[in-house]
Amino acid sequence: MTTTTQKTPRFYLAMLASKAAIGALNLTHHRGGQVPGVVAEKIDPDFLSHIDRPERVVFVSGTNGKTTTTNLLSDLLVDNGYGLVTNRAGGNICTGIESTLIKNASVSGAQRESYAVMELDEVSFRPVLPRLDPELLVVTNLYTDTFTRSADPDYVFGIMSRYISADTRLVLNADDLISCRMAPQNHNKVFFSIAGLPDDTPDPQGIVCDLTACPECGGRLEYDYCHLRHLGRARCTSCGLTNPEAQYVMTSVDREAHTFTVEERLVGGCPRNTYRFGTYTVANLYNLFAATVAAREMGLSPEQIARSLDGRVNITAERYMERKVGKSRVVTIASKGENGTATSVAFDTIRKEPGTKAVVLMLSDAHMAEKSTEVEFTGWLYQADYEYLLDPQVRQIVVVGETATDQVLRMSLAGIDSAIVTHADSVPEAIAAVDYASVDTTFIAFCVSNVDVARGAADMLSKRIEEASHEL
Amino acid sequence: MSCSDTGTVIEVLYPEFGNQAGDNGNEMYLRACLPDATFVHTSYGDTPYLADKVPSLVLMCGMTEMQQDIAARGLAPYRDRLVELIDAGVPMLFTGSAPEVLGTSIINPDGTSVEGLGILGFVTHRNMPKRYLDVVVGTFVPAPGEKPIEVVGFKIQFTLMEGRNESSFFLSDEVGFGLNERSRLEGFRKNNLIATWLIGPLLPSNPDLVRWILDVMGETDARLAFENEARRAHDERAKTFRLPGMHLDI
Repeated sequence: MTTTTQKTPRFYLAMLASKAAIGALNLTHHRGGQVPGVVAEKIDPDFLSHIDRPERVVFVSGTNGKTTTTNLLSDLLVDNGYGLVTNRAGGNICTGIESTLIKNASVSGAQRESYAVMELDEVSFRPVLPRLDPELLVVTNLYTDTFTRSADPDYVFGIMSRYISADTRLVLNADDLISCRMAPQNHNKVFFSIAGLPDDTPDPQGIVCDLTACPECGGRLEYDYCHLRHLGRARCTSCGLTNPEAQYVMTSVDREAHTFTVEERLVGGCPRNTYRFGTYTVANLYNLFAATVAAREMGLSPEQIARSLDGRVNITAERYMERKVGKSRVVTIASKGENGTATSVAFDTIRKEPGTKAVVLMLSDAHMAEKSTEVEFTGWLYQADYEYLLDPQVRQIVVVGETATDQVLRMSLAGIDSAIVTHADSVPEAIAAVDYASVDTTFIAFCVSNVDVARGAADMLSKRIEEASHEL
Repeated sequence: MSCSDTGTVIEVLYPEFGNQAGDNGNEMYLRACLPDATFVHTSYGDTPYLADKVPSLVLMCGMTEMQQDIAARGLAPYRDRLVELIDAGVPMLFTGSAPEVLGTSIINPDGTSVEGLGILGFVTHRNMPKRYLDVVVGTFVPAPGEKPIEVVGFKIQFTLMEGRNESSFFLSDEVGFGLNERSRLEGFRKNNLIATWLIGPLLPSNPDLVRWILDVMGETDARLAFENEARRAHDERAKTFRLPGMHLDI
């Protein structure tokens, strides 16, 4: 535990009030992930500077994959006997970080666990990092995210880069020519990179790309290959900018054996270690790789990591869950609302699945639908690859939610036959419209903020299938 | 000035920059309306098609701040040619943050500034990290006495503009702010140049505006793509945006 600046009466009052808030939330069975931090900040605006912090703090950030990577790293450490606190149940903005530390603290502010592995929202570097400097910071990647909040990757890069201290050990993705340039003031960096994969493309994937021009000079980029969207290897034909050499390189992937091999170029002899993975997607590989590198940087041995990944630790299934109901298969697949990249990756996963498909799109934020005077920006629909659903195996698409009308138009522009598209006014109506008997799999693509709604929809469809089978 | 004799040519300036926030939907919709048109993509460093030819339409979409600075430098040698084409009535559409390149200057939060093309008389103030968000329902009057066109859209920007557009605005807003938070007059219009801060899929959401653009391009026979779907999307937005207190949130 590390003591921070001198605590004030205001800090102790904030601590007491936030602890009382936790008690009230527990009594009323509410999660309220950020409430304790909100309460604390109301009383002590500089609360994060005043609360003690665990001895070793790791932040994981980046547009996509930070939650998965945080969870994996936490699980790896816990599986190897480390006591730690995470913000898995809290928020990833400043008040979420505070809430996590409050829950881990005594009333005096002293931390119980000596490790913290926390996901940190990119834009929240501004309020958090000046007050809580991590020992290790992992940045998974940078893509365009929610435009209303995060604008473009260049803007987010500027915020993140500015607030990273020179001392923090940075774990950066060498394959991302945007985020790998992070924090020029910091010389304590280590990079990870995936070598060529069989499914690589010669150019960035997707209808729009976050890296169509050099991020330093605007010049033309030449790509050698891309693994996932713009993640790959490129160079600027004007200024020569290119990806840095990586110290951790995933040299091979064996999809049949479900293993990947990492060569460590930090030490002599470049030892190679092989680890297991679960479901193969390039996004999953990157997340697992980033967590593995972070675990190595935290001191876990390759053997410890390999043992944990050999059955005990892997990517949680919440974002891709399948169930077999009679002869039908129902899959819920998470996307990220207002995030074209994440949605495109989900669509890409759907199109690469074998068999015929029905797809239910419930991508609008549920919380926005509950706010009668808040509207969702629809620009991201034009950055998402609806074209991936233009596949003869996709036999039906049902769309529901606040932006359904816009999505119907977007799908028409993608070339999808309007005859296979149904616009439903509610989730029950959407599920009732699914012609599950005519396809092998029904996919329910949902926004991560709609987990409960998606689960309910899958339950509803399963019940419908079961009832129909009983009637036969 | 006559249009190009090579058929319909739409020049997209710096498409590698202008793919922010769904502005790419504008070109996507035009392609659907004009399947036989030629789309010329002019990247940074290329000589624009408009340098010595007359495109049917010039399109430039929103970009990052760094890219705006680069675009302003890249277009500076063609500033007078742009003015000549605007004066001749060549249709042009600048959306999102792209109009800021057409102003006299862009002032950064630290007080430094970037020179614009000076084609339109306004100054841009970048106020990062302050984000200005709004929904817009406005009226575009193509010509005095002509039927007004209802336009809907989103505004999401770091900037506010200082300048006057009382006699050269694009939209009179019923909902939403205009050049700045005190203004209800959105964007600029100069002959057939439209410069608007509306961002995202402006054209797919506004079929009547597209009809006007196609007509001034001389494409009176071109059909609006997926007109029914586009009208439904437009009508839904117009209805929603008019609800009291409707807003975008971060």
